[in-house]
Amino acid sequence: MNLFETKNKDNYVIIIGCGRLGANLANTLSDNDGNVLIMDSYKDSFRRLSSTFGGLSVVGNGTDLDALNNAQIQNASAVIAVTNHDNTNIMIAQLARDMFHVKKVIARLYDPERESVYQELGIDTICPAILSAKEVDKLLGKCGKQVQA
Amino acid sequence: MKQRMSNSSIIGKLMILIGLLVIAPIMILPWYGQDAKYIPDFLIPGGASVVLGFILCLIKIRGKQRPYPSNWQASMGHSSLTVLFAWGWGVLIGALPFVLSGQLTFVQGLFEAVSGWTTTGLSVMNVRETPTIYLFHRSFMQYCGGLGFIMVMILFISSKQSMKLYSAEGHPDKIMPNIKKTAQAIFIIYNICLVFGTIAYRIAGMTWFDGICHSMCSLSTGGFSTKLNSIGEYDSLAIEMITIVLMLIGTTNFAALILLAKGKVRSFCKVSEVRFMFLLLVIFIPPTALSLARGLDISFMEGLRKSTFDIVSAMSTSGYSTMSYAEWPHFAIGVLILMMIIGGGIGSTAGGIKLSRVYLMLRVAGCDIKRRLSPARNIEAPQYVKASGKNPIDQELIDDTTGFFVCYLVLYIVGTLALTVTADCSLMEAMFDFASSLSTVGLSIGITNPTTCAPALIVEMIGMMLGRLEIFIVLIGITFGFGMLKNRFTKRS
Repeated sequence: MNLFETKNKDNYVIIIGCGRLGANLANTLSDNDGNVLIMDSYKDSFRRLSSTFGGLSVVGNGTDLDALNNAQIQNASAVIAVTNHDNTNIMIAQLARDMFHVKKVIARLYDPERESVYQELGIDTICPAILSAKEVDKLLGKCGKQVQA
Repeated sequence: MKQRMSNSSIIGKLMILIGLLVIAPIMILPWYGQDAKYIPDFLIPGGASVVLGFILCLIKIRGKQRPYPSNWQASMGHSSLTVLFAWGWGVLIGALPFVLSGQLTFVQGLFEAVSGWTTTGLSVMNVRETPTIYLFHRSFMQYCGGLGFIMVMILFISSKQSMKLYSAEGHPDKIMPNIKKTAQAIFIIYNICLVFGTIAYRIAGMTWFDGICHSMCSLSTGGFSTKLNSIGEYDSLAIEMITIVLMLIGTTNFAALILLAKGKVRSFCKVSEVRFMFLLLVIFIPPTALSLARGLDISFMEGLRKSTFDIVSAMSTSGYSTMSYAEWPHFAIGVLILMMIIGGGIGSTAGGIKLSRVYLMLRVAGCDIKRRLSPARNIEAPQYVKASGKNPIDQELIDDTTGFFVCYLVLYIVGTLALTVTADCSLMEAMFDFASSLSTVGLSIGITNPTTCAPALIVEMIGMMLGRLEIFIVLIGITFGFGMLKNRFTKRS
């Protein structure tokens, strides 16, 4: 959770996709005085942002170079791609890393089988399915121990 | 300490801030030592506010933090109430220096303070006899009022609630990806303009003091002057030009100004509001100049100079004037009233219905007419350009705009009628002066002066407050406040 604690002034995070994850992330970052820009192709998605959100919200397509340029992606310290399409996320992450040279690029992917693609490209990924599986496994493990004890 | 501050009560912080702002005019004493006898009049109310604020903060830290209402409607009400409180408290504390020194009665003092903080500029003081420190106090109130208390507070301390309060105070734009940076960017631009304005005035022949006061008041679109005849006292073309430029800056949306500051002139010129503003100026100045030239028996060029200055002054809701309006032809007065009601840019220091709302209403009306003339299956997707980019004109936006528009007009009619009764004047005079209060302009046709009776002042005060806080916040705040009181009483019984 390094991201949330640093209060570096140049810390400018761009989040693409204002779903549940994106909106939550944006709210937390903004509440901690971070510089946040969130982008989504539908205006309605921004209703998920809390009323304390102090960052920018931009309607635009995250795979559109003009939209990314307008969001000043070259100044971003991190780009987080959390749209609801794995392929879109891959593309945004690639754009951010290869064309705009953003240092930190994180993408969310639904399908664990695609992880190899990301690994080849060197992009940090978060996969809810694997995370959940691990968590469940942990809980099961605990149960098992309790039963044994 | 900082952590503690951000956890303590917002109301306490606002009280400290307002206290400090009221004490601020003491800064000028090194240059104007003869006003030293007025120090207590500023220190007592300002100091009291600071101390009270500190006590409130301490209580809040000691006591348990009340959970902030999580449900959306309650939190909206809460922030509106806080904003409302800040402005009410500011008016009270800002009025006390006038009252304590015995220069004005209580109602007059309140009027002067409301007029100051709301950047109106209607005055019941006799400027010739007013000590310098009070002149500065008035101008400084307008300067801070132009930004708004919440914006000034966010500059120093930001907390989780600051965004809610920021939007509740009627600042629609986010410019930077962080609320504090947005406030800072606006503050910096505002101050740079102040410095340049002051220097320009000085070069044009004002004293430093008058220069600072006038540029503070024209940037905030306030319009308090240190002279009896306002800008007309100088009768200098250069000063009028500088004032026009400063007023136009003041009335432009902050986000658009930042575009301009970044050198993106082309995208600045594309903003609908800016285009609409210049269109209005081009349409209305020449006929007014003609009408003035005929009505006042002056040359066309003279008329053009007067009409340009006064129309910009009315539309930017500044309210500087170059002459009395008593002799003006009715056509010119009508144009001025219209300009005042339209008002300045949204998200600037100006008041009024706001240019972009009027623009949207005209666009909607235009689309409606076009729809009737075109085939039934024709579909249109109207768009307008804000400083942040293209925006579709959707139903939600239209509803918001219409709601505000209608409320504003209803208030205007009610207030005008109330003013004809309380001030005992003709309908046209009441229309002029109430448009001036509701849009926080500050031009007066002559019925607002040191001898105006209290009820008329109260009507105008209500108009100014509603106009500055954009009506709905006041309504939400009051409704919520009553709801809270009702809850408290029903729980006890």
